[in-house]
Amino acid sequence: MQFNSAFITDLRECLSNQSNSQLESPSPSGFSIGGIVQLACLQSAYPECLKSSVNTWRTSSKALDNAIATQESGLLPSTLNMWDVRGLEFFPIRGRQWADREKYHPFASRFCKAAKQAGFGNIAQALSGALLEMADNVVQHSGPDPACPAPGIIGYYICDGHVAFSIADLGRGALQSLKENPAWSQLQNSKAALLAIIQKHASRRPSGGDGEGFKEVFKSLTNLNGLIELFSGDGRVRITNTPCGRQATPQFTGFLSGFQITVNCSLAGEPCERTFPLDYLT
Amino acid sequence: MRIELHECEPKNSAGLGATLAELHMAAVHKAVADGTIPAGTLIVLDFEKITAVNGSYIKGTASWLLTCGQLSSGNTENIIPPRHVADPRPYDLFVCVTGLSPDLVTEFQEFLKPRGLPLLFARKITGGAVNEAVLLGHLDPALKFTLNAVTKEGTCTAPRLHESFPDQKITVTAWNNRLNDLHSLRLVRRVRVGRTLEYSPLTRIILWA
Repeated sequence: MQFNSAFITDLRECLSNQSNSQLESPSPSGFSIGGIVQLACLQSAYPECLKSSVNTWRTSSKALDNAIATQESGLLPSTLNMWDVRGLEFFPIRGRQWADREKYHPFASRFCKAAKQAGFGNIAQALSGALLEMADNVVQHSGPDPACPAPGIIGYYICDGHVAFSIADLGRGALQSLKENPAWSQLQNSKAALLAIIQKHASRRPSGGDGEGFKEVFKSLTNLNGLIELFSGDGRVRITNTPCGRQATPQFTGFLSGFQITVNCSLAGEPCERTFPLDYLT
Repeated sequence: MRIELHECEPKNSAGLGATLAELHMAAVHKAVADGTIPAGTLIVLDFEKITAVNGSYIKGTASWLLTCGQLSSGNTENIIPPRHVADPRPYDLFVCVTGLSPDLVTEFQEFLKPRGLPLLFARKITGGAVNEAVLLGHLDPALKFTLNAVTKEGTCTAPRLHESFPDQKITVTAWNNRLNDLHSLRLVRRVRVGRTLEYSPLTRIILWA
């Protein structure tokens, strides 16, 4: 079974409904980057429900082990040379100085080099900018005050002609963040909050608030076969880049606090989510 | 008041992200919140040695100061009280940028033009005074004409501009409105002298991008 977005959506549903059927599912045969990052968050949010299954799965997947270790410890799991380009990595978002020169810049540089090697050329830099913007949003919006952001995690997976990255936190989520701004205080649910962010550039900032982060993401997806999935609370929005423009499909999903986003970009073919095998990194 | 951004902590040659902007502007945020910067101060943001910026960083630095200044010159009744120290608040400030590389000029133009915002890029500064500046971003043709006029005249009033440009069919009231708009955009200073409002430019020479 592939632990991709569809699986994670089912798992969120099961966990928020306190149903254990999904937890007895077979071991994963592969992961998507969005799937693995969200699984690391679900493990933090529902430790008792998932502990046994996740412990089994992480023994056979170094990638999952790295993701969970990064999410739990806030430390970089890898001991490899910092300039070795890698196709799969995780990075913790902790505190306001999360993007420091010593750790984040080498990580961003590796991401950029890997994207260039995957055929993205100059777009790699724009994707790196979009990744930073999305990750910085965790610091900006996840906590009750920007001085106290919730911890978050970044993951990326890059293979030939495909770049995917995922950013997740377990903070207050899009709805609570937007409600800081009286202009958005009437929002009823997380799905509406996500749509307001995407379609109306909603921001918690009362003045001049028109989120830069998503503009960077959408800009970087121009001319790419992009697929973006956003989750917050019980809301989910799937955005695809089509020849007719962006199409957003909102729906309700199982509850998980915070905000999670996954961006998939392909140089060719239909917008899609790619998975990597269980033993990747092993 | 000059802020050399490459010297701000955490030191970084790339100005990327809202959080880095907030960290670099932390001292200014506090000074604005505490009210310790004299009213009417021109803050020069120096981007020398900054190799890259993005929209979030511009928004958190130059645009933040511009917003504070604009809030101070407009109707303050509907302003939402700031919740965090980094939220803009009404404060009589002026801002210009300097030390922009061509790449950074492009980023600023991409940020400012869609928002209809003008911003001065100081090219020559002597003793804290701007001698020559390029106007980045967007400004309506009528306001461009007025800004040119104010820059050439130096200190002026609406009636004086009306007298100086008799060929232009612009009434004193229209000149007043234009000058008021330039003040709201933080492109000219304004002081009340008796019953009249006197306006003065922020730069001696203005060039158009």
